Amino acid sequence: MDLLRIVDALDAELVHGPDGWEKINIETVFASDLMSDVLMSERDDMLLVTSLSSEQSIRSAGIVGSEAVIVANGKTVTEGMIELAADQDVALFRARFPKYDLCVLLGRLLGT
Amino acid sequence: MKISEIQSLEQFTCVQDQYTDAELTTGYTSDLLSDVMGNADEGSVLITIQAHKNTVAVSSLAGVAAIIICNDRSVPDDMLAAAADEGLAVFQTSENQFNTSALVAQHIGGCPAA
Amino acid sequence: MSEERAQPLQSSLRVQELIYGLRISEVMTSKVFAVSRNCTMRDVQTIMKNNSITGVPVVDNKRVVGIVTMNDLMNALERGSMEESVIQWMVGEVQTLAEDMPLSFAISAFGKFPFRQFPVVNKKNELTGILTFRNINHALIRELSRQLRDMEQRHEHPPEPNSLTLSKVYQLSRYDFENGGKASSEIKKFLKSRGVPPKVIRRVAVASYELEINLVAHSNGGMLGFDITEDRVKISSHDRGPGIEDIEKAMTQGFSTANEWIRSQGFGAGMGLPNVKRVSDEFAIESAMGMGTMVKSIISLKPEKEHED
Repeated sequence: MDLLRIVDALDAELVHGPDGWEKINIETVFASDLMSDVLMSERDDMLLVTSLSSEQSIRSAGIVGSEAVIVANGKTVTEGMIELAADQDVALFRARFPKYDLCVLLGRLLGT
Repeated sequence: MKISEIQSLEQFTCVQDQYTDAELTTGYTSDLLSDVMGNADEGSVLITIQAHKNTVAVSSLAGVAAIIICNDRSVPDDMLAAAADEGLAVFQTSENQFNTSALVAQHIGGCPAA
Repeated sequence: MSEERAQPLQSSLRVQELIYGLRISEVMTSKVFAVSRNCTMRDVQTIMKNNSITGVPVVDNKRVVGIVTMNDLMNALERGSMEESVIQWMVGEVQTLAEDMPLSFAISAFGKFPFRQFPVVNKKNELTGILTFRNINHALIRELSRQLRDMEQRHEHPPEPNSLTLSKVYQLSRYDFENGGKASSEIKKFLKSRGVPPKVIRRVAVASYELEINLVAHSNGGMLGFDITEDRVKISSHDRGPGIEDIEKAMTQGFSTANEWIRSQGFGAGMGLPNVKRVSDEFAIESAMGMGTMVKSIISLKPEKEHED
């Protein structure tokens, strides 16, 4: 599913998007705040949903090749995170909902 | 949905069953204890991979009614003992946090964001 | 941590990393002059003088029971007690080093203890050598000359512009989460630019990132080295302690000694080291309390040695 459709449904705000982010294909969702857990994931076309608003979230996404990150709970996104997102070609969003709610919405959307 | 109903779902195994059964209001998915402390709702079920005794302490302070440990992570004995002391139910599942959240919501019904 | 802080030259870091990977047995002096309990301080003086050394271990049936240093000798001389037994003047409770330890552990020991030399023992706890700063300097000079030779050779045969060869070392400080991950990002970009398959890059990135975070979250600081050839990526991590009490436990999923602050940074879920092992083709870890931890991870770049999963 296109990232654009997903972030619209979640009412997530774009913080940084590389060119063509709207068309990034998302097949699976990974929800975690523990980066080692993210690093264990082996899936492609993955959206990372996390309430850890730190540079490490962006790095971890970059390392496992996840192209999109949504920060939950409306947490503040730092300049460093935005720079890193640009550097790692990761699309970064912020959503006001908690992670649970985002998961539930995404579950319905992706038909999990 | 009541806590005991989680037990009847095939995806979940109850690993700490000394609890008072209660109605679950909603879910909260997080591995950051400060986040759980600040944001989890009273009477909610916590979906996490943070299998640590401090998770129990924070859950009990925040009024979380039950904890689900995802990804088949093993639950240490001191966590189970703490949960028994606090009367908090602990479940284990092989599902990840995303799937567990979606699954729990299907049974609790409703989602504050929707 | 400030960006302006002077970083040692990459080449000097590389030399350090190379010698850190050596074993103590490869660097120590194996010809040891030791005395037995019934020797006198005068005997020690003669040994020191004739061999220009500054420390003589006292052994009992090959086991180290003490050490007499130049300082002890001066004290005895001052009091006119040169004919007394070494037992009266030696320092008991000697800190020894195991000969198969990585040299990095010895370097932390020199930083931690006031001693100028360490007796080295084998698995049976028998004295097999002595390690001084001088040994370490020699090893450094040896590696420096080797690096220089390599550089000269490279000058004559410059590598292909797109070669997959790279050797780089990063320094990491305790709790510097901001910089933890930079090395992994750089290495990832390098491998990508050389057309390494994404799955392999991911494994290298995961291993190096976990090791970086370990250095930042759990060690007193250390270094992470990358040695990349056409065939494989070798990542080695050396830290300055505190050391892992129980390696088997540290390798168990879910076990973590992380404090709440580390957890709040999204780490400390007890998956780091198991995760490094999972993605490595070869994996080794060694640790000594109070001295440090060394981890080595090798990931093959050859397609025939694909990871099982």
